[in-house]
Amino acid sequence: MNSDYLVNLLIILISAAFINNVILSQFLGICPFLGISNKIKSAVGMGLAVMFVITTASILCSLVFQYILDPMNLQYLQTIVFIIVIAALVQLVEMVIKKFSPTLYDALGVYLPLITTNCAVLGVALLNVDKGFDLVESIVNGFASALGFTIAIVLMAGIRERMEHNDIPETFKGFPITLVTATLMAMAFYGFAGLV
Amino acid sequence: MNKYLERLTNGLFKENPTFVLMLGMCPTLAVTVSATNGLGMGLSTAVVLVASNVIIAALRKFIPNTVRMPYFIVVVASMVTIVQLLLQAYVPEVNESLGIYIPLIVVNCIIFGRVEAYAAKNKVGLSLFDGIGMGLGFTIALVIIGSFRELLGAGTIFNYRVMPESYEPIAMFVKPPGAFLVLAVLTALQNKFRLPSATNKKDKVSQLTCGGDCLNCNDREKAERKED
Amino acid sequence: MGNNKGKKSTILKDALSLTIITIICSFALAFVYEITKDPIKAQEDAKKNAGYIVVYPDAKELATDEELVELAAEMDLSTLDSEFAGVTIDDVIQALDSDGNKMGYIVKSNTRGYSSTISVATGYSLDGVVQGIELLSIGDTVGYGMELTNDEFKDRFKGVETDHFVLTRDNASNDNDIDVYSGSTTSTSAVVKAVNAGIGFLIENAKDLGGGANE
Repeated sequence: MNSDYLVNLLIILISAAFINNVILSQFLGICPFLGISNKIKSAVGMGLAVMFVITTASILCSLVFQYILDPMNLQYLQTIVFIIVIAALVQLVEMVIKKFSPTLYDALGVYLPLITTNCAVLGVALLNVDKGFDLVESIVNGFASALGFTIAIVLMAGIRERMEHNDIPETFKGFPITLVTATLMAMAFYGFAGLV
Repeated sequence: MNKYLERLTNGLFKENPTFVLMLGMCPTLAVTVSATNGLGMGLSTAVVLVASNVIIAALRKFIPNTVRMPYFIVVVASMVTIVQLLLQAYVPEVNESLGIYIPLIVVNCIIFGRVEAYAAKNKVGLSLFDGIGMGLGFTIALVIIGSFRELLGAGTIFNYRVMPESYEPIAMFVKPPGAFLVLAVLTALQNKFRLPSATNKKDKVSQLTCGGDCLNCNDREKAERKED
Repeated sequence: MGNNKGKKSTILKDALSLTIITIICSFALAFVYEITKDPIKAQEDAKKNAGYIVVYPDAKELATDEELVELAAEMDLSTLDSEFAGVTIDDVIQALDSDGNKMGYIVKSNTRGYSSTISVATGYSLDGVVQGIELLSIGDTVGYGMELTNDEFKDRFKGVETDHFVLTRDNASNDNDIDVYSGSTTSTSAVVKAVNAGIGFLIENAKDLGGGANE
């Protein structure tokens, strides 16, 4: 592992977390971003759950692709295999957490079932393959993307909590103002483009 | 026959998946940089939806209730892969410009929502028309949003120049922030004119886009809907 | 989930029915895959060649230069110029005229753009004139760098006799100056870098361009 490789990992980390933020520039995981960002507490819970699942899913999907699908020339099955891996993983994680750490389950449990259809999870797994990442790169990319997701959703929740007491024009109350906030956030994140 | 027509108009207008139900926001925001992209995405999704609806409706009596979710996932993911392969083979341009958003149709709320809420309980014919209606409703919505963004962001619609040469395109509209902004204005207009939409049911903000829970979306909807 | 105590057979039945649908789906997929395999391959080849011929319109025939491709795979381009770090070259093609004489090269270089890898094909004649460039792929995030795919940008490179291009901001004065495209700074510089690395590689290694480090 030479220094070039480490620099490369750092670039992947920064670009996945900020520049290509899964939500604000790739539009993956919009549903939870808009749906459960009204409280910081739930946003943090969702973010942590997503971080755990995306990182694990990146490892599993990367392994499955490199050691099963690719050698057997079954690349075209990746979508179906990945979604099954993710669905099974989420179920498993839910059962394990429930059994061994009730406290953690109380905190994250309600968000886990939502994650199967979170397109960020499948999206990141597919992107890892698309960009030809190896296992370590996939893990870094998965973790960083999830970190970006958490940053975006927590920031959004923070802003929304404050906006609750603001005087917003009737027309923009609710969904529209959330989207306007997202617009401004996306613009701000657009500024990270020059980083790498 | 009227029942079938009703399904079509239901998907196109009354329960338009994008404008009214606010489902499938990821592709709606991501691929609508141009009208062409919107059309490609809309039609691909429509095909997957129609096929999945028909298959699930046909098999609905054989699907054990306990494992219906994995069942749906397998069927939908297969349909998506088939569509993707066909696109790669015969219309590679579409596949290219939509990239990973094609396989991501699998996790589009619209698909699971319809399969679970409608096809799993209704006859094949009705499910077919439900799929067509919803699919076309989604397509039309994406084309409208795509045209709007392309018009402001590039001065063209379907690559035909519409704006005069002197028009300086506002590039932001074809970039990510523009997607959010267009949708913000759209939903604000719906609020303003009190159009039927998931966004202006005042007390249910947390249920937007099913509160992020596509798989159980219809359970929440069911409580609200009286018919069916 | 799975709340079926007392009914032992249910879990078997469920598993069986799930297995059956999975097998059916797999067969359907394999079938479609077999049908679409050849068209997909043909499309990819056609696209590849179409991209290449655009950058060297005079060429009548294209032939892969195995020796240079191999060399490119082993070589670290940053040894040519530190600026080329991160660029890879995965295809080198000889452009031949109708008699099969070599007129120049087409080189495909890849580098990181705004969101992912940008692949550029560059046509370069033996007398050092850029014949054209084409962006073969420009990333997976829809909309990024799309401005660069227009002809105006690509034509800036065409017909220029140079061994490298220089990135400028709104003040292109020399033939080999390329203005940054507003809103696509990263993508523009990535393209210029990829083109420069491709040309640099050819000059260093292609014998008929004065190079030939392996001689």
